[in-house]
Amino acid sequence: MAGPWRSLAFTGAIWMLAAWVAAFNIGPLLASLGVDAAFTPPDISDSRAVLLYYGLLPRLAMSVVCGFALGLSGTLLQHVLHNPLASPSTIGIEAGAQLALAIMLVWFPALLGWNRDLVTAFGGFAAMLVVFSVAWRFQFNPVSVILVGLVLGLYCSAMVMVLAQMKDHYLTGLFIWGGGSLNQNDWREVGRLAPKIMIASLCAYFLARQLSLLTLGETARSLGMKLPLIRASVIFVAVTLTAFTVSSVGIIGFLGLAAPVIARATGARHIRHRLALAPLIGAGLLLLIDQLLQLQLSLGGVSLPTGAVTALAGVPILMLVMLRSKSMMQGTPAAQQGQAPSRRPGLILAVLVALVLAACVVAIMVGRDIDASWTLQTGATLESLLQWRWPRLLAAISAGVLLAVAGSLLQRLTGNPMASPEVLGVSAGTAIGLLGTLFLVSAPDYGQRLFGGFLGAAIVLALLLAMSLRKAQSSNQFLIIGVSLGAFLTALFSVILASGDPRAASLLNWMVGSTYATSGETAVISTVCAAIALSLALLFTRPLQLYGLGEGAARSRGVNVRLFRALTLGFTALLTAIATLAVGPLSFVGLMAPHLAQKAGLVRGVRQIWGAALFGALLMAVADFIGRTIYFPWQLPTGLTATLLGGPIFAFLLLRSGKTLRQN
Amino acid sequence: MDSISSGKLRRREVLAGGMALLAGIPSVAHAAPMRIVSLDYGLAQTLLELGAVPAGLIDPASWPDWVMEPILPAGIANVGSNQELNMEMLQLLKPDLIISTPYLEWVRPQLETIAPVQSYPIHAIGSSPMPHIVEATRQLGDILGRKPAAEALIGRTEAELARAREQAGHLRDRGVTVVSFLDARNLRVYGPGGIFQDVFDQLDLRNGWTMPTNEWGFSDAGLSELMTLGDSRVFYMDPVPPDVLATLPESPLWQAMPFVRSGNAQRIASVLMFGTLPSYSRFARLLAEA
Repeated sequence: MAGPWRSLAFTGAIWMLAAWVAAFNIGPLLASLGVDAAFTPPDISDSRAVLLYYGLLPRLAMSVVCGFALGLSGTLLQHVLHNPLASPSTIGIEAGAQLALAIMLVWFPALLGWNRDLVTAFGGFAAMLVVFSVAWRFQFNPVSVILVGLVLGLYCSAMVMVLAQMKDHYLTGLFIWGGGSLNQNDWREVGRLAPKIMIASLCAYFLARQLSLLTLGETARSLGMKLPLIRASVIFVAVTLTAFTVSSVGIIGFLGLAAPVIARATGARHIRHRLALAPLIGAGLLLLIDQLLQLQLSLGGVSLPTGAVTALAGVPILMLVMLRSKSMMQGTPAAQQGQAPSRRPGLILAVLVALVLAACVVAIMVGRDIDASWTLQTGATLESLLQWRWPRLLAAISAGVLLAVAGSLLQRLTGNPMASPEVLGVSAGTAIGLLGTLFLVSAPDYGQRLFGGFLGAAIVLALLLAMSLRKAQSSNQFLIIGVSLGAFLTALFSVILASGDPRAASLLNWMVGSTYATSGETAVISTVCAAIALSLALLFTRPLQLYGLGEGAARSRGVNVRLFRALTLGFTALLTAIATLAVGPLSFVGLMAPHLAQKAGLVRGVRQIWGAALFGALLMAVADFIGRTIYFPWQLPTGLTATLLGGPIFAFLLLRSGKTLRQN
Repeated sequence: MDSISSGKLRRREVLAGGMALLAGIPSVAHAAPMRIVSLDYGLAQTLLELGAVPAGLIDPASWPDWVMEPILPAGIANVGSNQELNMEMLQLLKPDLIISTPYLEWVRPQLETIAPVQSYPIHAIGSSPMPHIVEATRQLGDILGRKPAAEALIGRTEAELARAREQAGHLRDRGVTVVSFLDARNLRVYGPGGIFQDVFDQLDLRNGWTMPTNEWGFSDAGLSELMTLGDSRVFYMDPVPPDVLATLPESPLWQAMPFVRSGNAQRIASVLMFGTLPSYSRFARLLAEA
């Protein structure tokens, strides 16, 4: 079967399956009420007809409209950004929309009563503007768009979590919304959304001609087209589609990424075919999943957010499809960031050490008194408070070091500046491993939790290793798997939270990187591990340097490439597991610290690893102090605070280095 | 079923009430009052009723939105949230006792370095919380040296429930259901395992919601699932998200609900769903007055 036809057949199969499941949910009502009941507004005294007409059918229509919009949005984004990773979730639109809603709920509830849709759309567009303003400087360089988008998305989610920590009562609805709920009360929401989606879709298809010119890549520039402008307008349409969808039903995270990838993998190679099929696949998938959820609910199951379950179901499909297909990962090779090495690396390292020490002294001595006034605590007071301050500080710092080292090693090994434990899904793997331990062992001790976490991380990295052996140049595949795992984890947590499992509460605590109850024992273990890791990592620098010259070069100088790669990945898995147990999977330090070191001019070998470790330590020490004191007596979890701190620094550095990146 | 405590205690009720009256007179404290920190709103309610104002509490600022009764005196220190306790604040408060729930059991070793910890499993046990709450009330009375006040609180609650039971006759003609709106399309519906169901049982009311509930005593539901409530009396509890009240009246689905058409849907003031005896009294009174 020719490509597009195979893809079309696949699309048809999904729709048939969805229709079959829907028949169980809607069939009995239709059979007893007659088909007319589906098309005529019922008498409100007939509750079953009302349920069908105002409940079940709008929900069905809603899943089709949203699935279509997200599928189209993802297709446009992936195409125009030349990046199979692009999707509404990976460029931060959804998280931006969610943040706007959270802010409104907490501080301006009156505005919310005025128009919830507008609030979320505003957030989505604001996030897009931030990404665009950065991307503009890079002439919409695909990798930098995704990089900024990922960080922004993480940043917004972190802010939402901080708000939820402080105002948890108010934001329960937001969690449902964040999980993506397709419940409908009538046709109004569909009636509002469908025309907007239709207009945006027409614009999208109108741009299709320009898009197919875009596939010619840079040669289009010679035709006199203003490439950045067309890209921007296509992205604008894609964001619009997402913002409308998100404001109506919440985050249905994975669909925008999965639909176009599945379309391509099943044979829709040409963008024309994908533009037609991916939205249909998105609609069919969402319909299928939502109908399955309704079916299990009517059979006595639990009420689960559709958006979260979509991600749970979407990730395995995506991975399966991706592993089977060979030709889909023709994204751009990730850009290497050129940066001149500093002439005085010793001085920079010395300054960093001094900064870390200063941060530690402040984090130990400075605090707030009972009346929230700032004080320098000494003597007996300090003595009594010390037992709370040193474990969390040590745990934070050592986690920063561990993640930074892991990130440096991974970035070197994969040759991809976006690689890090967080982005490659190693942190998520640790989290899933830990989750498994919690459900298998009733009260796991530190060793058992570490083992579970390590196993999770190692499985993820082994998967990456196996893939990298099969196909040499597929660093984008690494990233897709990593991002997928992250989404899978988030979805898993939404589902566990929604199911009301008692273990969820402490899990949530750990997810956000809460260190307030770190025991001295855990802190000491982490610190010792960090020290060992730092010294061992130095053994990796020389082979890594050779490795950076290419596998052939490394092999010719006596490096056993396979063994080296396996060793490095295993080591990284262990570091990530130890760090993640302490500060949760969200910190993003592993991505930022190596970049910060590079921007400071520590670009090579031992220096870079030391620099990254020191930046990691500094970031976490400052995060620990700020999280503990800034909003006293409230506290912000250290992991989240590190993300909030690191985000702007990271964006600033990206902007400053715009010139060097643009040349790539 | 009809009574919180056994008949024996009933007889002691009058006596206990009398002693509580005596205790109400500003008595000369035999020792410095215990400094207590409560990590749970519900247990803090009981403390207040027993006349022991806690020195610290999680998020005191949100108390008026969710708990309302009893009124929280000013000047209680904020020790953070359930997710992120402020250990330093706890330490600086130098409490004699920390009272908590199994929800925070995982930080017990750390808390115990500050003060003895008493943990009371009063919610999320998968069955009626009432016996556990009564038990916790007695234990708190014991610890505080205010046994009579604890018995008086139990007696008071019992009397309030009995009074509400007499006044609630007009609610027995149909099922009664309490819901909270999370947003315009998603709600929580309360049932077995929570204090609202306990009050229904005490007042001889029938819950219109028959779906299974989680161990906290509620189900998550979409609006359309309320159709199964039929012509129950439906109370939607404060705080209601602002956009819900704006959009709900225009929804045909809402308008088609049998309880909306018969005018049996009404708003009810906030009652802490994870509360203790004061929440029982408050909810019973609000119901009877509805």
